[in-house]
Amino acid sequence: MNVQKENILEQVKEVLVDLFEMDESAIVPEAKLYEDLDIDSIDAVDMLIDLKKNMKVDISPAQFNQVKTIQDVVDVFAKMSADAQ
Amino acid sequence: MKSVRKVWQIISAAISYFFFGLGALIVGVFFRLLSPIPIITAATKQKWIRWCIHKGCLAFIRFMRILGLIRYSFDLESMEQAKSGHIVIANHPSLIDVVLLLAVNKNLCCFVKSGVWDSFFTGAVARQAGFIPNSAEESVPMAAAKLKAGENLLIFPEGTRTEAEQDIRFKRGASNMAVAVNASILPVLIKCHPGALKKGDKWYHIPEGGPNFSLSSGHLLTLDDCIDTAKPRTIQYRQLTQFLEDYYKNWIATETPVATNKS
Repeated sequence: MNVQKENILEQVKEVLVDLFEMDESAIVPEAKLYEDLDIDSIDAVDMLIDLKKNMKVDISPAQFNQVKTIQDVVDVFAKMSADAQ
Repeated sequence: MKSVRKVWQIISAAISYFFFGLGALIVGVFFRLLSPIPIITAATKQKWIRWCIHKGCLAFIRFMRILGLIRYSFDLESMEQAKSGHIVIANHPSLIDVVLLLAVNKNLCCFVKSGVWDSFFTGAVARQAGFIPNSAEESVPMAAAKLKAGENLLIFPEGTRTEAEQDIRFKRGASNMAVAVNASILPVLIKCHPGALKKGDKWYHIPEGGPNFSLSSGHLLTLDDCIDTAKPRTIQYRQLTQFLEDYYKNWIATETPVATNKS
């Protein structure tokens, strides 16, 4: 992962620990949101809101729909930040 | 003699379920015929249907009792006194839990699973009764709107029938709803001894003498009684779920509904 994505991963970790009191060591790129981290569709909405606020990037729920793993989250935000610049 | 009694039990259970299905069908057809009549508003229809459902469920459990299939007792003072716009939760030991709850409660809005929502027999009744499908995207907003309008919602936090009474596991659905709307929660405990009509049991397997169902209700719980509502919603969902799970485990073990200190 490049530097930008590493930064995004750190921010994602911060939001997840804040929102779910999650163990940081569990937040790895391969982790599946639903099966591994117990983040359901209702949680995902709150998670997206916080992530958007933190990273000041606008992403629609539709764009976020395909996200299944932490890596997917990072990729989506990396892409949207890049597009915004 | 025992086998004759067994056969009688199976027959009478079949008769009971048959009348239940027939009743649902008749109510469904009757109200579908009523649909085109403009004077009768959806709200009125809903009231009538819920009245029919309530009376039907009451008749059903009385019928089963007369046939010696079940016994039941209720201790639900707190439920009768609770105000409107709250969520009723219950554990889910048997197949007929909903029937029992609808028999004791005149105006309850239920979450129905897709099997019931889509079924020919029960689907029309469920829709016109203003019930909510549990699997649609609009389920949460629909439920929130009903709670705000003063209806009482029935949710089984386990999501399905209990597998092992010693290991009750609540999913987050009920908590999602309660936190989203800041609704109070009325807990009901359903005890069924000996265990019958559990998940995996055949519908005709009924213990000797019929299982004894006892329903009791605890005090209305506000969210502040249970959790720290200053925390992020995502944490509230989890803490509330854990609180309610512990509450029920304790209740089952001690037969007393006690709210333990919130974490």
